[in-house]
Amino acid sequence: MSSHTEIYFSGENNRSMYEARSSQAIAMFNEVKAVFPWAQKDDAFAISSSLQHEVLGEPVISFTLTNAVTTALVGAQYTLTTRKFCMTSNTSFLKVYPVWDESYPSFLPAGCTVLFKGEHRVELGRPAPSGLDNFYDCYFKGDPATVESHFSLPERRGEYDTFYGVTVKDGAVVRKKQYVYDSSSMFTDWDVIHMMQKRRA
Amino acid sequence: MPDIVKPFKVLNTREEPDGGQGVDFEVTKAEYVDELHTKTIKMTSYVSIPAGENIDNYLFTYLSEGGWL
Repeated sequence: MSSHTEIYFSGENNRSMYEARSSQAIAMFNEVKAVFPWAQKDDAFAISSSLQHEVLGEPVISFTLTNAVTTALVGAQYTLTTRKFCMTSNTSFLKVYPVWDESYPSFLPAGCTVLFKGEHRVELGRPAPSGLDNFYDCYFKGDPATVESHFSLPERRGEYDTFYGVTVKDGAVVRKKQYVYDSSSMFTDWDVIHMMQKRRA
Repeated sequence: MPDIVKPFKVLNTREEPDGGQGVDFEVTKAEYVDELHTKTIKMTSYVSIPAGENIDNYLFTYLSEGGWL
């Protein structure tokens, strides 16, 4: 089995997310397990390729945790959690995605729909990288031409949908991510998930 | 420092006659069933923690050694 469910581009970098039982995911899991013996494949429904994290400055592999694990760890108010494994420093951390509840960010062009914030959490007993407090992510949807122009991004648009994320450090955008979906998958329809969460809140 | 997430829930604590602490806790573990299903096992149990030990650290080690974390 070989299927990726999501791909995002950040400058010259790109990262794919694979279903947890795919051959690519199993290969990535084995890399993680060699460094983090406590890592559990059953905690995740998708596992990413390795990405050189521009802020942390090291390769990071992400596990997208199942809903049950997310609920057990951080509560049912979060629909998604990822566990990030930092492969050089042998550290890890969690990332949660609450609905964006702050004012419209000044770093975005007008007219975007701000969806989620990416916040970091540290796990008890697991060493974490330093500096996690210094940056966060903002995920949004917007007119592709407007977003590409505003952030000087190449034209990359999915046949099914396109979403965006920016990493903000000390108030400045330091990373821009284009999430490109050519077909519907478990990772698409952020706007629908956002609406459902807003209604539930 | 970001918020710290604990992989277990402490439900109740009580002082035991020897000065230690009795702790009711809950821990959840996921197990793969098939491509469409994951089984979740939730354990609720009680453990006696020696006096002077940190509850969180003790539970973390205890559950790690037991294969739960």
